[in-house]
Amino acid sequence: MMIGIIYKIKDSVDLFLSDDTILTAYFMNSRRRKSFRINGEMIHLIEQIDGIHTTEQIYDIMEKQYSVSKDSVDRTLSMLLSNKIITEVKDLSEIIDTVDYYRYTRQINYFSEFLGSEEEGVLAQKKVMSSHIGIFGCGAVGGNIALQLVMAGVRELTLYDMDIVEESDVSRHMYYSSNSIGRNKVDVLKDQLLKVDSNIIVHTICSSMKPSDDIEPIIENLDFAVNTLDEPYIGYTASKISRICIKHMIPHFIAGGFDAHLASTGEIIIPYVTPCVECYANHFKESLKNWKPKKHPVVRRETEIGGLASMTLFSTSFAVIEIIKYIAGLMEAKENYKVRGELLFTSLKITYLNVSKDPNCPVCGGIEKNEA
Amino acid sequence: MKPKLSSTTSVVKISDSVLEFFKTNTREQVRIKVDDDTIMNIVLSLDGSKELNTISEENGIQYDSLVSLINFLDNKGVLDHVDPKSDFDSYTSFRRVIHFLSDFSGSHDELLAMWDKLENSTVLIVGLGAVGSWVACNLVQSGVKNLILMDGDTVDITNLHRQFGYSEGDVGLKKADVLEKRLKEYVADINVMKSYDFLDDGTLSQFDEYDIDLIINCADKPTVDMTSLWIGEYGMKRSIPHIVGGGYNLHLSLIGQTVIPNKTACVKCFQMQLEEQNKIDPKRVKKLAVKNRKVGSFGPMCSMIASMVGMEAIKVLSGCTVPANINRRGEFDIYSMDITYHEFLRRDDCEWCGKKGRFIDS
Repeated sequence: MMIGIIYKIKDSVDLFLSDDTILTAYFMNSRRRKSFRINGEMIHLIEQIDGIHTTEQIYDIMEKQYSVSKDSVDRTLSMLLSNKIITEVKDLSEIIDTVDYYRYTRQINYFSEFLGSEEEGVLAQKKVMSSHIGIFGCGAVGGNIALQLVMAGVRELTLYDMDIVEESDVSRHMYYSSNSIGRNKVDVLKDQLLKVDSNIIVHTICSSMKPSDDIEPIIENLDFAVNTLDEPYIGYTASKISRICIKHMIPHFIAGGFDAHLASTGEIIIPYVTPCVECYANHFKESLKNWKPKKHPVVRRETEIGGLASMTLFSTSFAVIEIIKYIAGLMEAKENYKVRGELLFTSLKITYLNVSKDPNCPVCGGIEKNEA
Repeated sequence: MKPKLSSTTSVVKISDSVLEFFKTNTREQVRIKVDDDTIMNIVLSLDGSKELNTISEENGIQYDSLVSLINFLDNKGVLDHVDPKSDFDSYTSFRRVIHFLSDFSGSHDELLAMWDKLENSTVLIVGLGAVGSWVACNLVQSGVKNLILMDGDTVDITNLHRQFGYSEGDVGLKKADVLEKRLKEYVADINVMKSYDFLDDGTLSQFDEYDIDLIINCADKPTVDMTSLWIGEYGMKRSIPHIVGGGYNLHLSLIGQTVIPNKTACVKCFQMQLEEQNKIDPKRVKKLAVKNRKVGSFGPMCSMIASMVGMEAIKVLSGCTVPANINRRGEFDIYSMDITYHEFLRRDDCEWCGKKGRFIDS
């Protein structure tokens, strides 16, 4: 079954042998390990998996030198394949441009560790590169997310924001530069994105999000939507965006990092899989029902809110990990999705909410559409 | 004195006898026991416009009792310490950072001192790659005015997916030069000193004449263990706090420790404990060689590690609070999206900072 194929040990896997009987595979990218009982013949076999010998040559060597049958070689190879320790050596130039392969080679290698072969890693990178992502709100959080997505290879973005760059944006907007003060945020961000990758397409919409605005035509075209719009307020924009996304089965991310949640993780919303914005709203209605802040005596206190670039960077890095994990298909979303958490500045520990999908949710409750 | 409730403090009446002050920047709460609504009403009138005796009269509370209440709230960082804003030269640019630090301050003067320390500190960043590039920007964005950037590398197209501040047009240029230019786009008048050297045993001595407040190790060549030891040793010798970054090749999800010389476990203490824990008998365990390998990397993972390094740096430089990663290091798991920390102890038998150590305070 494996005639003419060349395998190699994955670049990201270290193999250790203990007492000549236990093989431990150490997966460097995710720092996980797996151990197997192994015999002397298998060690010889592993030594032949060098990215040069074809399977036929290996059958031959194992048969002649160690009297190991083709069947048991196949069994070991299958075991090594299913445990993602070895990968097939292939000419990948037909599925990815060599310039792109070179540029993202480290990331492809990272992806491959979660998937099977290097080829699957390349296909995962292709998924990232062919995604069109909408960024609603291009402040510190949305701007960072856009930058980090383009760095990872996303090639089409729609940016939505009405603000202009101000002097105080220096403290949190990574795309800020002092000569951009007074310009539209979407334009400044677009310029920065094109510097990182000149081959991308960036659509800009310089607008606020009023209740009368029809954003459905924008969302329909997206593969993924990110909401960081805190005007008029995050709850309103998230609810509006999430409803449309769920209708069109578009996964989305409600980012953290906004005022009073400076290092929140935000949350990924996969329609009918994770809790949706409405499920979260319900959760808070219940859990915060006795927590009602009094009216604050200081007028215009919104200009006296704290913030730190590194805390924003935490929230946006977290968001981008989750988004890429999902788009690239690195792990089963249903089992591995996270709900919203919060990193505490003082302890650097993350605490997660205890929230789950609301079966009676008016937006995503009822039928499990993903099963269809 | 015109006391003002901090703009980032929320006041919540939890019950008839418990009043909560929730500090939204740090998400920390201060709860006090109360007999009735008197204290709450006083706090909710602290808009910064009234003198103490007016507040005392309006609320029918003794002046002395009011002073002790105000002092208590002051110490807990519940009251505003930023006003008068004109005391901060760069308030317009950095108001967010200043209001953030205010949560940790006990008075206006204390906040001024914290900000002054942060602004005027000098940070040496060794390695301007997947962690160092982000950290450098975050520090300048938080007001730090003096940086020493050390890296001999030039920008390569394969860097762009995980290293911040480099563009397609920068390929082939020195990273230190490109990053300096980018940093000055944030704040034009910062001081940037550059070294195009790669870290090696002894290269750090070129900085002997400089006052350095913090060294951040973001270099992984030749190996993380070696760069950490070199930086650790130099930091101990000059008693300079240092942070062992993380996020490097083969240590992609490692969140390194913060070392305060002679107060916390040093790099050597970590090394000794790790060697004991990971004792491998070379007769029993052997590594099977894997040829021609390249290793993976993931940009947002690196920047997440960088974000935590950045937060630790702010703590060390401003003195706002004790760094979290002293005597421990963390590991971020991409499946659970959570951090596991492993504790380390400062050791009496450490050859650097133990009882007979080379670098102990005399």
